[in-house]
Amino acid sequence: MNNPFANMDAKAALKYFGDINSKMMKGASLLTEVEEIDVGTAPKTLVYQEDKLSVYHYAADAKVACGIPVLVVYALVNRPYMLDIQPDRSFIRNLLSRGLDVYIIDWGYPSAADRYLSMDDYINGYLNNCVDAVRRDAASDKVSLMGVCQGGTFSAIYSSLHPEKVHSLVTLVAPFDFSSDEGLLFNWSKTMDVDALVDAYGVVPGNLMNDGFLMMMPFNLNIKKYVDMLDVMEDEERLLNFLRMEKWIFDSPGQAGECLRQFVKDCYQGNKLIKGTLQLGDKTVDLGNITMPVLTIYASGDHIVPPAATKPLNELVSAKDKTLYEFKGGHIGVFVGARSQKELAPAISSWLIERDAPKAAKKPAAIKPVVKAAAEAVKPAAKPAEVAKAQVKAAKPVEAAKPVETEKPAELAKAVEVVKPVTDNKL
Amino acid sequence: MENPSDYFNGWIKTQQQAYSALQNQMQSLYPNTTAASDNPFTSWSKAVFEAFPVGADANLAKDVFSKSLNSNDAMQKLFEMWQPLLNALREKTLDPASFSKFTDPAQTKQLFDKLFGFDPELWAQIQKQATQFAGMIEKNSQPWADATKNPSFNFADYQPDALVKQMEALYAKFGDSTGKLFGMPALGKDREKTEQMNRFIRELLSYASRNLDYQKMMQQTGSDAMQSVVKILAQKSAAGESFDKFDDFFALWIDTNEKAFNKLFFTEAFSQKRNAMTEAGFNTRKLYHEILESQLADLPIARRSEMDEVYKLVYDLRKQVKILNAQVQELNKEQL
Repeated sequence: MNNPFANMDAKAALKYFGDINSKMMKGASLLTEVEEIDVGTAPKTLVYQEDKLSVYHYAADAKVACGIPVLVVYALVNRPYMLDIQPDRSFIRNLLSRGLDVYIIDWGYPSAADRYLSMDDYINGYLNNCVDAVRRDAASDKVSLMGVCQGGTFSAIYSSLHPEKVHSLVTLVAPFDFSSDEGLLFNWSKTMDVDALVDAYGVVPGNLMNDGFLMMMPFNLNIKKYVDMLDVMEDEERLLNFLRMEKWIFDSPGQAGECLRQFVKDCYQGNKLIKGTLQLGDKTVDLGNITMPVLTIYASGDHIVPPAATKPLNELVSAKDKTLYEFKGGHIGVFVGARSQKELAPAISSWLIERDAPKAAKKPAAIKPVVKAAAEAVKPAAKPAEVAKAQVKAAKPVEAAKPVETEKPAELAKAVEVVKPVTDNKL
Repeated sequence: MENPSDYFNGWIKTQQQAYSALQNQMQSLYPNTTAASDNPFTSWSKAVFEAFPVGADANLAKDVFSKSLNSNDAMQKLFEMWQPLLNALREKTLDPASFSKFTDPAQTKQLFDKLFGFDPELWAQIQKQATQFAGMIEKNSQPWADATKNPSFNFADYQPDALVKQMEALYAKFGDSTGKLFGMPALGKDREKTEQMNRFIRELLSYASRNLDYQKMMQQTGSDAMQSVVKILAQKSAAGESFDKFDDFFALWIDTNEKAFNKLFFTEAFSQKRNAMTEAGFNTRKLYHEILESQLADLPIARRSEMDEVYKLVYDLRKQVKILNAQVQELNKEQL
């Protein structure tokens, strides 16, 4: 019988631990120089504010190819700058470079006074007002909604209640069918006493929610990640990248108690969205009312929102133009992974541009934006038809509802290559 | 491999030298932040933490550094824990069945306490609170007070229920004697406060019991995962395979534990025990706030329940204002 540690050289091991010390010292020195970690740096202008939320309009860095503005609806958990975490890994910049006119909602940080905000307030109140603000600002009858995670659930609910204002709906790793037992959050939420939680806190602290997320992979997220970090500590740029992600992970706003209570009870525990019994204010949510084009994106390796929770939207909507898109990766990889930048953002952009309304459908601006200043300079200008056509072809996902037989073989190959699955992107 | 004990001692020495060097460096850079403590690590840490600038993300940088220190400390604990096994591997003919005796439950527990943030001090605090409570009514509850001063539980030897059983027994004794007084109808504010304390202690005990139940389940899973690692080592040994680096072993340990806990997390038992614990925790917190409120009732300050009423009023008013605003805008549009 051999000793499994027989080849472990003591000198090498000593050097290994010695190196750890050196890296710690270097890292400590670098960390003491950190004053501000820049995130969300894509230029943007404030166009609407209400209570604690803000809506921003990103400055275009390419000719706008899509006349319908896109409003990004992020989740209430964590902060939306994940989509613009750093310039070379920015989902937002990627969309802008492809000609989308992008707006985003920053929900802000709820304080104790916001404990009574309900799902109805967020969706029929805030989100509806944000949509109206963007419609005014962009002088457009409709907007396209791009909902992320819980923001995708909210966007779908909104689209079913206000279909007249939504041109297209894109959801990214958003839960709809909460009966899934594949995700830990889904399992844990089914038996949790959310009344006790909300009654105890009012506005539920973000760090309490974070504890739940960290518990999903405790050894990797609490130990290994920080041991591995030593390898990047010596490199200032890589250390800053690490810190940006770390900042995002722990920058968790509290959750308005009543909204969380309803989300857990009606969605996680009651699965009312799928059953068609979800009630918001005096309205019942029927996903069958969604008739606009729908792009449902799920991540095959998502451990937070499993595909089984995401995919059913594609079946429940009445839209004839609907696309189910599989991203080979994890929940976070959808936004910051290299594959996301290379494939997903281009695919979404092309999908939206393909479905863009004719310019004639644009309505003149009836009300001038109040806060906006710089955005006027970047109004939509159609891309050359050939370019737009090429983008559309490249965007067709493998599982797209529309057939691609009419494409030339080379173009089809290109389309398939764009959405080629990968497995190295799990986060 | 050279003598593992020398190797380990050498490593520890290197760590101390490194910390000492860094401490000296920090002291020279920041002479005014020298800590008075004799503990070099504490001094060093203090100097380092005080050296962080006050910027928007300075706390994040501190936090990351702290987590990095903790994680490496965990890795060091892991190494320390496996040191006897490394020795055994070198010096003995291995029998897979004997591997398990090298995993020390107390050290395992320390490791998992660190990982999941279990705080053994919590139980000391609970006991202290119970003693203080007993002290308040010392004359009438001497048996309770005496008993709480003589704790016999031993947390470290894997009998975490001992404390709760002891406290429950004491509580029952209290309830059968002096506690009967508190079952009487309320006579006024003071009696209400006492009864409130009574309910709080009950809920605290419930939380303690559920928390320990939860911890026991987690520790058991950790212990089982350790045995799985041991089995894998034994298999590797039998197959003539070996590790070239400690971090290969570290990766195996992380992976094995992650899988073991992931399996546990998907069980209904885990959901139930965790939810039972958190629910009791939330209720305890709520009762604690109620006690604080009743104690502060006579002071001219706004209490949480009063603020909640204000928040509700503001919320309702804000909604009404928004509706009225929208109506005004519609009317304006019509007029235009």
